[in-house]
Amino acid sequence: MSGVTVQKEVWIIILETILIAIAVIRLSHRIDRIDPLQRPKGILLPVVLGVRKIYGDVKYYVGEGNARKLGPYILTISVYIFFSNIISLFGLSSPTANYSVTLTLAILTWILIQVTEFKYNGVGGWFHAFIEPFPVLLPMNLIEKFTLILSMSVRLFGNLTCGSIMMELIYTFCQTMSNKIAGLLGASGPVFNFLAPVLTPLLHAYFDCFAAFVQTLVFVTLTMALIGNDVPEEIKKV
Amino acid sequence: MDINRGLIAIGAGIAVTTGFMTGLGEALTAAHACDAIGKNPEAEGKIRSTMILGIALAETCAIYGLLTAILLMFVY
Repeated sequence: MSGVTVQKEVWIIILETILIAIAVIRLSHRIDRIDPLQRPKGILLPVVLGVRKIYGDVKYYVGEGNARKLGPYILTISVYIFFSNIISLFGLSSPTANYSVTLTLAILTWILIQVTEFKYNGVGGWFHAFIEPFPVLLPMNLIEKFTLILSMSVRLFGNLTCGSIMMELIYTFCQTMSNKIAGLLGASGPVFNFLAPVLTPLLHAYFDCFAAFVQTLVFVTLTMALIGNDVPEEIKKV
Repeated sequence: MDINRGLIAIGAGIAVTTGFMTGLGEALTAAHACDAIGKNPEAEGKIRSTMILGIALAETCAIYGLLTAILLMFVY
C-alpha cells in the first residue's frame, strides 16, 4: 500500500454507511412486526410516509413498471446524499464536499440515463441521436452527452464546498473579533472563541440543514426527470 | 511573483461574477412558477419539476464560472 493515500472522507463514508445500515435493518424489523390494519406509531410514521412519497414521485416520472426497479435506487441515493450533507453538523467533513464522491454519483445517474435510452430507442436510435437534427451538429451532441456528468457533479460539490468554506471564514472572523474584544478589555493572547456560539447557529441552519435538503431534492429530482425524459408517455400514464 | 498571484485572484473574482445574472434568472423562474401555481393549482407537480429542470439548466452557467475560478485558484 506504499504510495497510496487514503482520503479521510473514506472513513467517514464507511462510518455513515454502517450507521445507515444499522438504522435501516432495525426499522425493517420493526416494520415487519406491525399490524398492517393499524396506523404506524412513533418513528415508523415518517418512515412509511417518506417511502410512499418518494415512490409516488418515481412513479410519476417513469411509470409504474419502471418505478419498481428505480425506486430503491432513488431512495438510497436520497438518504445517502442527505446524511452526507448534514454530517458536517457533527464536526466531520461531509463526503459530498469531496469531488470523487459527487463524480461517482453523477456517473451512476448518467449510466442509468443511457440504459433507459437503449431500452426504449434501441442501439440504432441511441447512435442516431448524435446526428439529429443535422449531421453537422455531431460535435455539439457529443459534448452535450458528457457535460451532464460535469454539471451534475459540480452542482452538488460546489454548493457543499461553498457552504463549508463560508462557515470556516465565519469561524475565523469570530475568533479574530473575540481576540480583539478581549484585547480591549485587557486580556492578552488568544482567548476562547466566545462570539461563535452567538453568531453561527442561524448560519449552520441555513448552510447545513437547508442547503443540504435543497441540494438533495435537486439532485434526486434531476435524476428522476432526466431518466424519465426517454420513457414514452403511454408507459408513464399506466 | 506576487503580482501573478494577485492577477489570478482578480481573474477568479471575475469568473465568479457569472453567478450575478444567474441568480436573477433563477429568481424569475421561481416567481413565474409561483404565478403558474396560483393560476392552476392542480398542475403543481408538473410545474415544480419543470421549474427545477429550468433552474438546473440556468445554474449550469454559474457552475462553469465557479469551476473556472476553482481551476484558476488551485491549478496555477
